Amino acid sequence: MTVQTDILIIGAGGAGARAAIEAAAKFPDLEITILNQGPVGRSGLTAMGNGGMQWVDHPDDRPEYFFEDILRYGCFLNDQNLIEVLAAEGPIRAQELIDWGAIMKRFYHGATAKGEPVEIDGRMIYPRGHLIPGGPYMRALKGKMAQYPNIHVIEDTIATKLISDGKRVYGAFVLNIRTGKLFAAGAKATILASGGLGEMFPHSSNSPFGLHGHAAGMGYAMAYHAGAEMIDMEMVQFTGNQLYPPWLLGNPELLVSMCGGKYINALGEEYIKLPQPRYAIQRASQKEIRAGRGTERGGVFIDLTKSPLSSEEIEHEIKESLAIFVAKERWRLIERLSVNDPDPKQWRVEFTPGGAHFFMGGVHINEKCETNLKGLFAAGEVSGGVHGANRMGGCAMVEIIVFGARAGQYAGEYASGLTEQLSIPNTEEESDRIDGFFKDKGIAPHEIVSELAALMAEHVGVARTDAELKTALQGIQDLKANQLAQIRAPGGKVYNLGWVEAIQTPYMLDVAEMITRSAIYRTETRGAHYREDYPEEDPSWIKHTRVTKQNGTIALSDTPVVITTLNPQEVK
Amino acid sequence: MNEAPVTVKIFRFDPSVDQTPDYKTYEVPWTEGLLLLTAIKYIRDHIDETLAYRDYCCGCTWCMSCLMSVDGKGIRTCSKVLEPGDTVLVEPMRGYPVIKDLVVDFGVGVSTEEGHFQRMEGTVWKKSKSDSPNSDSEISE
Repeated sequence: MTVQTDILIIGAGGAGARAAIEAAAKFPDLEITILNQGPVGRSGLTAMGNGGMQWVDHPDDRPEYFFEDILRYGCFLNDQNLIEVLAAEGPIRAQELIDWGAIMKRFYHGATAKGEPVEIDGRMIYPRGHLIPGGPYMRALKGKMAQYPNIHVIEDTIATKLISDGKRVYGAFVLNIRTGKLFAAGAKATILASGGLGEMFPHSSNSPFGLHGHAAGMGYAMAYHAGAEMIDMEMVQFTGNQLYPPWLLGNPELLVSMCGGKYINALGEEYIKLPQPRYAIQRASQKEIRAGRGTERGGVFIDLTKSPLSSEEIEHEIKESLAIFVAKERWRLIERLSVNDPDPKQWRVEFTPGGAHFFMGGVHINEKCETNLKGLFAAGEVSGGVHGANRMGGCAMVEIIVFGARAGQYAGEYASGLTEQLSIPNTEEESDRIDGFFKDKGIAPHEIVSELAALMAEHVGVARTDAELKTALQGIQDLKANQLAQIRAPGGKVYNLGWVEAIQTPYMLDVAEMITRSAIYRTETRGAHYREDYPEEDPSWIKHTRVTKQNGTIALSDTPVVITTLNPQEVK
Repeated sequence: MNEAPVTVKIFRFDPSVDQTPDYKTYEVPWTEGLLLLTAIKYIRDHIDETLAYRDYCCGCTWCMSCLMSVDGKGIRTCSKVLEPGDTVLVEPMRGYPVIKDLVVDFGVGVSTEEGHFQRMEGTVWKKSKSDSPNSDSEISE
């Protein structure tokens, strides 16, 4: 079966939905088809976002200041053309979202607790924190999408492969999970908005309780196989992942930055004090555990007993940071499961570093969200270059609507200008490939993914060395050589989760290899990429690592960062 | 860890094969903090690989992709804490067409009111209309 559309959008999270709205509003003659792995607003990474967002709205603040903060936080690996856009358009896109019905709250913590600018290390830091939780965020976008008759949402679908001739992309093969039928979606322009890859690690905020978060990272692999340039694939942002108590208190970092908790090891010693960037906390926590000062579960603690705040203040701050105002049930569960003592000032939360939180690398884009392939656009977490080596908190939920809108605009312009007829291949070959996973004997895909995730956590986590990375690479290659052909999906085509996982697993192995090879290639420490054998930042490494597909294999090279206003060599 | 296991009785229906629905019963070892949703995942991963459910989880009780009918009441299964020895009956969320087992088409109840989101083929079996999702005060969109 073949479907023809003008713009195909893969993923209906914040970036994809915003792209659909922009394209539909600006180009009413174009037909837009948007795919989502689950129900819109009830699946994907945006929907689970706590909703911290930063944009400029203080009267003394300027987009240029925000630009510089993001750049410094990203360790100068950001493409400056992209963060200029992010800083300038963030307030406009955020206000639209609020106008479309999203609830917004001010959200100040850490240095800007009072909502006033403060001076840190000779630089003014302005309050920019806002909170639009993932639920209301997606409801606003979903409601807006429903107003356009030229947007067609197809829920419970995954793209299995981009249709590409190596220079141009013109759609994708799509599996309808509900029916088990594959179809070819031919499109003049294709927007990849498929999100991140947290599920490749055993601990991830992208997959709470080990359940799926729709973050298998298929988009990266599909783009790579189609011929797209991938940058900074070594840049995985880690955060704490709660081990105990069993119910999640959200991102444990917020218990420190907002509630005054202290990072302590199993001996009760405080091992790092704020303010610190995420990667520094991760490295310090990892060091404690490797030095034998961790808990039996392999974690360290956030201790609220030492907080300067009162019990009432701590409870208030936790409720704010977890957006309890839109999830009252969540607080009831926290009270029931998280603690023996209802007084939060008695809580100690055990967490492990190395929880995959965000992926800074991805498909190389320019400020029009164009890639090196004609007809392929990318926006959101699947794209690279915006956040450099370290994403600042609250920047992703802004990034997705800013670049989502741009992808919609420029994909619309491109599709409108295209007059030639597309020739869409039939589904036979791709159908045979994915049907090949049905077999009598073999290995369940989730078992292979568990092995892969364990490898990634052990050797490609917070602290890396050449030897460890090469151990991981060997492990990934062994999995490919020995288990890839044995991936087995259980029978039945209708809503078959095992089949979906079987389709994802080879892609996850490819992405793991890209991450590991890029991490070997970058012989320095920068932001989230911490090399114990190269512990210093190296100014000559202010450039992107680049992955391309050459003769069927992963090839590494590098490419300059885009510099528009601040030369990294001159700023310190 | 010698606590009594949890017994989960689950509605099973594959429209491509079955004429009528059926129920199957599974035993899941109890662990501290076991949620109904993670128990269902345990069954799929370790006991019955053909079980279908919406496996997405936001982790914070607000996405509602895990709405199911539990002992006749519509709840989020990510917020249902199981105790040792519990027995629960799990059926697809009422008021929505069943796609397979515990997976329903939420688009029918939600999206069509807002607009014209495209309906997919594959909608096959519907529980009685009187069990409207709106009659349950737990659920709010």
